[in-house]
Amino acid sequence: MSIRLKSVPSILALLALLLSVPPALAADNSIPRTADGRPDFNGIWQAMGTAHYNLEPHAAGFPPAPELGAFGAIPAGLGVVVGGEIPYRPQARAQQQANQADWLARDPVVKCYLPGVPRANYMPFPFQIVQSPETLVMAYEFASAMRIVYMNQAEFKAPVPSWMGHSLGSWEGDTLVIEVTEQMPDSWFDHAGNFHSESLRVVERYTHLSADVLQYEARIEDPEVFTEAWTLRMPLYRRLDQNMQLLEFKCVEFTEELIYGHLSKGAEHQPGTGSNTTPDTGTQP
Amino acid sequence: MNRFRRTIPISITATLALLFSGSTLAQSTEIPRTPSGRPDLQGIWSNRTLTPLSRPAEFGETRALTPEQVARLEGGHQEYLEAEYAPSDPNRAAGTGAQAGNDGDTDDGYNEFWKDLGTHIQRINGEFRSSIIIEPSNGQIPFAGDPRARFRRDPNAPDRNAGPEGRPLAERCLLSFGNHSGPPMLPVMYNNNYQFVQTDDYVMILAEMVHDARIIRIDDQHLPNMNKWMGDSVGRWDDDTLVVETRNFHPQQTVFGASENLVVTERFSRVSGSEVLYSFTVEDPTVFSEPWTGELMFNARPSDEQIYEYACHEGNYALPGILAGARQQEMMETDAQ
Repeated sequence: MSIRLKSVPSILALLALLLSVPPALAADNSIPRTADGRPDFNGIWQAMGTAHYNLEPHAAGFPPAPELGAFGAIPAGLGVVVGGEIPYRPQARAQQQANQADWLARDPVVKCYLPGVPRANYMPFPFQIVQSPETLVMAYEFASAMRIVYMNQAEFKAPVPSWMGHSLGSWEGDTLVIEVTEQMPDSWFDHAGNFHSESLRVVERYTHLSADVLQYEARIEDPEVFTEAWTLRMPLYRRLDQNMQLLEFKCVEFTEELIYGHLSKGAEHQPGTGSNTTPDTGTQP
Repeated sequence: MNRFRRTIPISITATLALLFSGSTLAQSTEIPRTPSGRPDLQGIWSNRTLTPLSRPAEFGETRALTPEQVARLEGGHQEYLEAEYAPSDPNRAAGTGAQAGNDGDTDDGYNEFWKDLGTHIQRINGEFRSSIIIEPSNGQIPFAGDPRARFRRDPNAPDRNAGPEGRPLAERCLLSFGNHSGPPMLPVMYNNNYQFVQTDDYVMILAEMVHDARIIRIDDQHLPNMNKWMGDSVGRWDDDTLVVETRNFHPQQTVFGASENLVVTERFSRVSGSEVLYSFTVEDPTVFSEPWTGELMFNARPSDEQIYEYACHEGNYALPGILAGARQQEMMETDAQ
């Protein structure tokens, strides 16, 4: 007891010292930084949770094919949309529900198409950030998807639309802000058929909560589909597994029988029998 | 592109160069460096060149071309380009005229608008090169045994039109055609563009086709029980040269007929503000009688250019067309019987 009492003054002195340090500076020292003093996002990250199934709150659900059993059943989730629901225009909500009812056939990532942004960030696969002052690369394990984030080049416009979009990065204090435009209209946000049009604009914000956890936010703007802008938010966790490396899920080879199998020799469905090989993602509201 | 890059004061280099003039240090010029002092390999690069991988027979053992030979080759290519770009006769038959069949596959394939072969013979250390391969000295791939073996099909491979698995990797959008993504990274018909991004722990090389990012771990071990498309790449710095060893290639990836014993060693040296000298050595004693080595210059793309997304699989309308054509042909043959 006497030892504790004796230590009180020194604890108070320590607290006084801590309190005299500006909070921002104290936070500065708690996250990794690059040589030029910016927050260091280098590393391998992954989302947890069920956002890839459905961004909105959802109870557990049946698998899309009964043969998958419990392996394919959908776990419940409280959702990652700030405010709970995505503010769809009525017709767009009907489209989303039609997508969801037929998601195995319609979901573009089932066919291994590039997932787009923000979906790539919360697929159940890790992704790696390789960061340098002018260029930041996000390499995704799923489908070898990748995107180049051009830092501080606000004047650089997208040459053409693309599946992973055109990413322009900037700094707001210690937050990495990425504006993503010119995405193909064909990508979805999740397995639940949440979708967008070619007017999609995404503003992402990455902020360190600690050395190994990022707060990820994506503000979604698409006046053709939504009545107002909305935001999804979730943590991204650093993969701390020993010897963690980004491995490979090239993906295309796993979907060839699904996409082209009806055209293989001896297949039951032959050309002209109504099999559809063109992307049908149901994204036009 | 170099706004934030640090450079080592040239005075140190110059002093060393004076002390060791005649050694390689004397060639050191001021090159961009990372904050930790390594050569900065970052940027967008192209390895296009008119110099072919293997040496044309007419040059035999001659590695270095004369200025006259270079002028003839580059001039000849220029004439070819002019013929290709000339307006074509709208009444010509399919498969005739300057652009006829030049992709080797169709009557009227890619014309020069789509191609990216460059306009220059490769020049390295002042020497014009007759081939990318410099070892062995004849500029040829040293196949052990019958070189035709590399064209033979795997006896276990599915029939080439029976299903998607029988088609080449590039048609399936699994990798680029022609070893573009490598390693070794070789120039192909078009899109010879690469972006390098570098940290102390990784060097990432994005090959435009098929948006393949090869992530090279620095000072690490090869992964156990793992093979990958483009292999497993581990790098280390040898003074100012990045040395990358790649092994454990995906069994379906064919690199000039090499087997699962393939090892590719690449060396990257930033020799100027606008050039990275790239050399590669390919070893596989089961397929090649000796290791073979090539050299290429990666040249900086203009600073206002960026890399496009090459979304191959998403727009792959050709593969179902090929397979549907094969099935249609079978039905017609059946009907004819």
